[in-house]
Amino acid sequence: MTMKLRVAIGALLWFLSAGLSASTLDEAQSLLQAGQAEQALTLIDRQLEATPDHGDGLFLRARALTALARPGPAERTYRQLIEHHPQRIEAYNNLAALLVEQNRLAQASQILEQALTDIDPAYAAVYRNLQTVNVEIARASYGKALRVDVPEQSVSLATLNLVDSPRPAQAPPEKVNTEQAEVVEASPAIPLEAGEPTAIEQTVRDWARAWAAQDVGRYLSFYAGDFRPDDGLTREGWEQQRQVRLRRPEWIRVELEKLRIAEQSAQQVVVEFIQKYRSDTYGDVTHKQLILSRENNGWRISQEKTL
Amino acid sequence: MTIYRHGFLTGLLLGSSLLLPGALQAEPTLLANLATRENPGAPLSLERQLGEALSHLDKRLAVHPADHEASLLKGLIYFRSGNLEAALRELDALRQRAPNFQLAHMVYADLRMMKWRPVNDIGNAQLFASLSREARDVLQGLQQEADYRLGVHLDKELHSRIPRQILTLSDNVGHAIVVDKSRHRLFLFERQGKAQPPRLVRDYYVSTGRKQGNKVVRGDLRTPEGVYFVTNWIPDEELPERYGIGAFPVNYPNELDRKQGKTGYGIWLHGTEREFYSRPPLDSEGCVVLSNYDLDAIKHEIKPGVTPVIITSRIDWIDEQTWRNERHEILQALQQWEQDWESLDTERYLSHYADSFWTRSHDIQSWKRYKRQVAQSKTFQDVKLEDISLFSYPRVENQQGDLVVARMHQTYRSNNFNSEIQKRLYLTRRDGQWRIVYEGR
Repeated sequence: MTMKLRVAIGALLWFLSAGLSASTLDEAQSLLQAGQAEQALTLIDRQLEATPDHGDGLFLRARALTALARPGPAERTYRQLIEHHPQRIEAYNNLAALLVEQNRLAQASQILEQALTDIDPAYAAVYRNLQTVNVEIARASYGKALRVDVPEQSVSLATLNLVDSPRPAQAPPEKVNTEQAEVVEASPAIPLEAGEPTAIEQTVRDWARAWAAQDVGRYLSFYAGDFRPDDGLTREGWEQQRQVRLRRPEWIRVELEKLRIAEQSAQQVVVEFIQKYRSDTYGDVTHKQLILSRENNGWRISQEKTL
Repeated sequence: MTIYRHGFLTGLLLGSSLLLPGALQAEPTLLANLATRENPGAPLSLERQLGEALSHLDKRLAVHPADHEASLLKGLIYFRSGNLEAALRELDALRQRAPNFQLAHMVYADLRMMKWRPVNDIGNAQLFASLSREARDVLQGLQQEADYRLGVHLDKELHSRIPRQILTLSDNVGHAIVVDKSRHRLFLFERQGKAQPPRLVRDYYVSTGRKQGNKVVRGDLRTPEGVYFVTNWIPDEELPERYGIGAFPVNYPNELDRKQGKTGYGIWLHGTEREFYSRPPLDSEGCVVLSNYDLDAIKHEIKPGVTPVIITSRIDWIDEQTWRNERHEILQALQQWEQDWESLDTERYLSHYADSFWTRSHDIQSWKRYKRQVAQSKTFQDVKLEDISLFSYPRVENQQGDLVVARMHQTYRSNNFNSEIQKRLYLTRRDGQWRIVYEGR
């Protein structure tokens, strides 16, 4: 074999491996999204043999390991990633999320603070996660002060995907993003009386839409001034809780079915429906009842109940 | 008290209006007082105050590394100076060191919350809306504890002044304790030289009886007010756990209490159940409760049979001149009594006794008869009073005039009888004259 040929083959091999790398990662990401983390991991690990410090590779590996409930190796992978790519804020964020799952709140807050200080102080998702961790640490500490039991691991953080990272995006936008604000009106509502009821129905559907859009301010604006949460929280505590719960998931979907007006007076209506809630982390179906009261500029929720 | 709001503002305003010297003088602040306590005198710049306050607290911590209140204050000072991170570090270290110090967890939680939104007052973050009654009581207790622990540092009255309660300590009484019930604070004083006012060594947060007011009857859950003395030390191993590392019983009911028909017993100065660092301000059945660390820090200064424990609803702080005048007046009265006794002029001697006088076995009439009778056999009497301690009795309800307790070593010699005793006198001021209302051993 001549020298020239050797070089040519080498170049070809290099080209092939680089090409393979990109498509392998795409495939791994699709597998991950399809919930086939095991296969994704196998693919990524094969890829990492050639380029062990590959940023995207390590990141996807850590996500796959997290999905497979292997927090130890996932943590090590994130740390390795941070070591080689200290500017990848999504690694810090997801590592913090992993630590929170293990109730290592103080370490999580440290990692998040570091990310905000060293990389990007204006990264909103990371900032929100840091607030969540701070509130959780405070909650646990209040528990110790008052000697009341505070359930451990009561929160989880929003994790970031490759696509969320501030690098120039080569990857196609994730499907999730296009779905985020979608409210599926699955079945037509029970016919309502003319005039007002449509406004009522519109209010309820707008409320669900704001929820699914994770637009906390708008979502909270649907509640009446005298709204009392029925789980014993204060209005303030409830708002804080809603803020965290609306923002935590990567996406939320809310479907309302069989919406009907159960009772009605001039100042108050009772609306009932089947609520199908789904997010990337949780889903349930409940029979819900809202009591709406008339306020200056329309109907507002004064009571919310799961029947 | 809204510790944080105040602090929050200071944090925000640091470097602007608060740096004007007048601004900090306008109202007492934790910081200004911590600084001036160490260094009374000229107003200091905020920066100096911060430095002085921190160095004062560092000194406290150097002497007693387990002085958790000092750490708590340090954290709050960092916070006041706008350094939330340093405050968090201090409080986090504190709660690791003292996991049973509930207030440390509370303040730490507040500071964590403050990374998100301001918290006005201790435990006021409203994260727990649906607290049980029990937890709500704990919260309230902690808030009150914080108010007392920090409030004492806002108290301008305490600086470079003397408690009227301690007028003289004899040179065998190295230390005296004064408990201020209204401030939930125990003050440890040290004897200085002869005719020198006592020096404040340290002061500590204490819990007192669950019910406020002066003790009257057994089981009323109140802490008595009066001049008492420590009678003995009961070590840890002889006590139930709830008394902590040990206890110093005091002699309640004393002579005056018994005369007034007060009942009850077992008033102790004791430690805290180990599960807790400290207890809420109003928590005991009448005892004065210190944290174990604090009790441990002072227990070597407390001597059974010697150390006075004066419990008062509120310490009467006086300046040095007033202190000298009062002390002088009473010492003179004692000297006159001693001389008139020696003079063999029985009526002059008896003029020192008040009409309301009592002893264990006499009232004023029988006392006069007895003294007149004894005097008939005397050809000479020599009385020597030494080691005099004087304590101004805490003012209590229905009290007529000032009352002072004198404690001394008395050597008596005469032609037919000699004695050496520890004497206790109660003196009251009537018509500008100090007269004896009680005499005993």
